[in-house]
Amino acid sequence: MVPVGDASGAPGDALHQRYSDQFGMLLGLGAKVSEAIYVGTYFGGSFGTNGGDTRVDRACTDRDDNLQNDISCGSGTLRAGLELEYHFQPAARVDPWLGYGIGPEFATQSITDHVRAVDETTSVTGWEYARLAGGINFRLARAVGLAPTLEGSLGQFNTSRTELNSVKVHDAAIPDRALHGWITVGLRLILFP
Amino acid sequence: MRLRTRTLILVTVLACACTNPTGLPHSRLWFQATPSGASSASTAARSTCTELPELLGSVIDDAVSLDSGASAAISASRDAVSLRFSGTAGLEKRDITRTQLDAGYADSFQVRSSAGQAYDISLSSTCK
Repeated sequence: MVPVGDASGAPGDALHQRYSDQFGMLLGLGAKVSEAIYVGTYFGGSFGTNGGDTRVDRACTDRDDNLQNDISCGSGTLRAGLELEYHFQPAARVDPWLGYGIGPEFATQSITDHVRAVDETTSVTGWEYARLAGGINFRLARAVGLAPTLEGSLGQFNTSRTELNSVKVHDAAIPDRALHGWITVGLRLILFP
Repeated sequence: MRLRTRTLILVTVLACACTNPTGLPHSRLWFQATPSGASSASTAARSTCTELPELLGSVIDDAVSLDSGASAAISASRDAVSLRFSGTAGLEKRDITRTQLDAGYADSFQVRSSAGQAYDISLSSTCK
């Protein structure tokens, strides 16, 4: 998953400055309500490291001489929602499709200073208003298919929460919101395509 | 034999390539409010030390109650600290950048609560 857009409207707060490219997994469960239309739910998560922000990146690059990581950084996301897919050739072995999803989104970033025993975590929550996807299902067997997939999401974070050593020190609405997205290239394993 | 040699070389390279262990650099704002005329060591003095966060989007909120009608709210982002008074006459707001704190910051002024009590405010980049 590649981050694009802005995490907030604050200067320099691009999504890729906070979060690195992410690696993740998405599980979906649903059913075809007609030959061509699939309706379901999805739940997914991803993980990565710190984004491109120079100051955080410099801090997270380990330079000690004890062979331990004194400052560690991480990031991750969670998402869930409802999705709808339209299949153009549902009975064929090769079936192109387009999909739309919508649901809540959660993203978090952390930096842990092991020298001073300070852990700082900031999490944001919001909505993915549009999760547009397209792919081609290749039916390998009667019950199994594979689908290379391209997805792009458009969302907005609404609230932000900061914790220091797991103690909440800030929890409020984001005053200057902005649009962000994730571009995802993946491979779906489909049961009972 | 070859594996042992490689391991030794790897350990040597790792040991030589590193510098001293370091933690995160930190910037702090020390806030103290003392009723005018009282000692800063008095139990009536109120203080807090707020450390600026490191991550983009992080915010640390803190507050100091001066008396029943007045308070100071401190909000620290990674680039600046915002200090806002409520229930006081005169100064209502002060913004201090991280650059100012890192250069060594100190300031003092007076505010008066709506109840009529004057407070000496001390700000510093060194926590006590």
